[in-house]
Amino acid sequence: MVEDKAIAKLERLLPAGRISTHEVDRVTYSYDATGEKYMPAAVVFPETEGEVTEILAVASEFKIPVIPRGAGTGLSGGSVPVKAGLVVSTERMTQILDIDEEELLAVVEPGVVTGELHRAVEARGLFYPPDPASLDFCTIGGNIAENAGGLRAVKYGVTRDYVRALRFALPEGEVFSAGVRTVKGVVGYDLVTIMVGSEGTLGFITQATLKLLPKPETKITIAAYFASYVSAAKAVAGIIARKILPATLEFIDRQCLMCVKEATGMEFPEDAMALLLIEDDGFEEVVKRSASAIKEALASENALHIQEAGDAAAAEKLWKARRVISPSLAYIAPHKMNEDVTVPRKKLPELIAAVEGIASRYNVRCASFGHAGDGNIHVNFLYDKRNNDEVQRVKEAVKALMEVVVQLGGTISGEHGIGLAKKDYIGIEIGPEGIEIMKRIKNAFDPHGIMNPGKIFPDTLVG
Amino acid sequence: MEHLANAAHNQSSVISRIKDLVEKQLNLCVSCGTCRKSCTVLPRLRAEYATARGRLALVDAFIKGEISYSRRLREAFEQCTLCGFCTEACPNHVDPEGVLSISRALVIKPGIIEKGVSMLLSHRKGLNLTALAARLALMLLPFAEKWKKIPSFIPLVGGRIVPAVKMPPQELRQKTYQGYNPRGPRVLFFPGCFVDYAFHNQYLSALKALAWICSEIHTPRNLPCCGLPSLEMGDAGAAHRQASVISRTALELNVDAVVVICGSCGSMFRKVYPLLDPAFERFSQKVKDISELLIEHRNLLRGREKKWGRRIKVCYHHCCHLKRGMGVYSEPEELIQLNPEVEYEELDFPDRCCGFGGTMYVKYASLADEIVSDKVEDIVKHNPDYLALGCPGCLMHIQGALLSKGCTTRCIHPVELIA
Repeated sequence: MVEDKAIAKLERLLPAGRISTHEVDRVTYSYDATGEKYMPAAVVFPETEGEVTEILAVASEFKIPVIPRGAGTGLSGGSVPVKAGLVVSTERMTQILDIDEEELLAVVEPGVVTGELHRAVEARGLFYPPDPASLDFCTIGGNIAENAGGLRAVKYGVTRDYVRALRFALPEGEVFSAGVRTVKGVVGYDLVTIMVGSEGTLGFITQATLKLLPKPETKITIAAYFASYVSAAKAVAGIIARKILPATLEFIDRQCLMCVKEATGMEFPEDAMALLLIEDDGFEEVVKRSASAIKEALASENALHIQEAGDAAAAEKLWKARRVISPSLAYIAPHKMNEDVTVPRKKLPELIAAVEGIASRYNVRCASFGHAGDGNIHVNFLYDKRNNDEVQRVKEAVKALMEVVVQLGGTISGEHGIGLAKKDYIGIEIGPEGIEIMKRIKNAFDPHGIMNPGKIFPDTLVG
Repeated sequence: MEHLANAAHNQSSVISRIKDLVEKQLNLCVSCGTCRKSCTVLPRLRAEYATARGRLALVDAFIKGEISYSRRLREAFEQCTLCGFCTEACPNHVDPEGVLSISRALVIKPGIIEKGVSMLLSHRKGLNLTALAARLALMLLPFAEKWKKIPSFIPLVGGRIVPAVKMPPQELRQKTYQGYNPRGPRVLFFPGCFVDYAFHNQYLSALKALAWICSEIHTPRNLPCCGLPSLEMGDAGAAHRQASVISRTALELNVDAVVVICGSCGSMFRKVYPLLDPAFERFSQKVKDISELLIEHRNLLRGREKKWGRRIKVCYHHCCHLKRGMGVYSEPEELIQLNPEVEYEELDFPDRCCGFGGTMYVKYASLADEIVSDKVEDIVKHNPDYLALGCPGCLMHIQGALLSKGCTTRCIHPVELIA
């Protein structure tokens, strides 16, 4: 077997304990948070950039797949070894190499946990805004590979907006350094942007230089309940119309509230159909003004109840509710298709109405929550894998949702990436020409197609 | 022969019950990875097998026949302190800590040594014999009177500082004690092996405090170990047999409460027994940590607190099995502060796991030591006279580490501050 030869060579080249072919490791690196499972041939734990390049060179020589993996918390199957090969984990590349307070930069290895970076920079009065819900356990490398979003994206943008420079290993084993440490820089193509969100299909990120901001002085958290989805969506528009751009503006529907209640014991008003969770940050005077404008906007859409968190603990309680939604949907049904469709903000009411229509047309269970402020709604179709008929209906519902989203001028994936989960739908959004040009780029970086094969591009079009 | 056949039947029905329970929990896990955030061993082992999610995936693959017994599989389960942070973190109410402790019965095939140890722990005579052997071995060693350093050439536990083992003195060998409170509860006090054979001061303080509030204290001298070590070694049958003896004795005595002084025995009784067999539920409901019972009756303690004759600075360590296993965390802290001479100070990370973990302490010493060094650092920073904690396993590990660092802080049970 060609894989055995590659593994034997790696065992010779790498220091002891870097590679495992034991079934204990192969099983535990067969999945991510999507529930898809495929066993890799081996798992590799490089500790340095040099080791990463050696792994890639050997993989290239023997033409076997390399699947970069951070914490395996992705929601699109990005780190699932669908074509076996080597899962290369960044769990031993976890150094924060530098925090530059003058240039407002952090230089990190890919395995740094996002929440740890948050704590490290905040201790110095600095701020790294991207905050995916899994920030306590996901890694920066994974965030970059998937271009992770998060709750604060409304005001602060997504991971791409904070990556200044990257070092990455290419499949042939050479290391490339792209981007600049400065605010400005226009030398040639923007390879950083190509790498961000490339889902491990172009190269292996070994180091990232990230942009930081000064840490906002204070923040306010407001919760508002509404008797209908539409009035909640209108309140979002009302806030923006008042020229306020809050840090976060989250939408949570009734089904999700019920799951949170089940998971945490938190109580919500009986007649609430939707909850908006809003946070703004900045200087105290500014935040006060935006709080009153936000409350005015909420009241004018007849919010049932408006609640401002008095202190950090009360705010944390509200945010905890938000964070447990995704996994707690298992209370409704054991499996879910967690979509991360995104539409222009003003189309939100149309999207929400369309989702209701799709759910009833295909007779599927559905729960929605997400980042209303940036038009990114997590529509979850809930089902039981063992019910074949339901699985089929959910698949049709997902396809219908994708079509609606593109018609509304939106995108089929706002922050999870395509991976395995959405590769069949990518054509709906970018068409065959889009796929073709992306494949040409892929080819330029990875001529043998060893980097994370089986992702992004639909099988039917892949040679 | 009939006895053996019964035991085999018993073993297989325990295993099939465990399997059902585990499968139900596996269905709830959506592999989101939240359990990665607070795992005690993950930052040291830095691989997915060390996470609750990874271990659940391994149990799943094992049950489905996709993987088989192996040394690595066994290690994956043994290199876990059962600290329960994963259970606390799980947004889906999966209880990985519970699943992982009972799953050892599925994925670990106990060897001849484990079977032998389990057998010794299953009978009082076996316990006495084990203690006697340990006592003789440790007597050869100099060091302090109470703590002994095991020579480094001894495999596994070499270099560790452990308490001297002693048979309980005559005054602790009674089967019942009369309390001073005729209207108080009748209790069974289960000291657990460590307190029975090493930490007699804890035993004496516990009896003294219990006498203030109870009418009768039963301390049957024929009980086996609680069963946790057997379960950790993968011998669920033995654990079930030990549980049967203890629960039957307690129910026959018809006591109001079963009082423990060790969080690990306590969480085994309260949380794990009903997982092994729903028939133990009635027993489990009677189980109380000594701090819970004392705080319930705190008015009877007032004015009786031990007089130290000076201010003493005390910190408290939340033992995992007491806090997350039994759900007891405020009572011990309250108990400590009942003594007006105590100057209480909170550790920076009072509930961080010390790394003891039973099998971990014995088989993966360097991992256990790495974990305890963070705890020691925290304690040294506060430098209390006493570190109070409610589990003698943690106590042995932490005190050993403190002594080897030359620290003067002494570890005691909260009840020793009161009685």
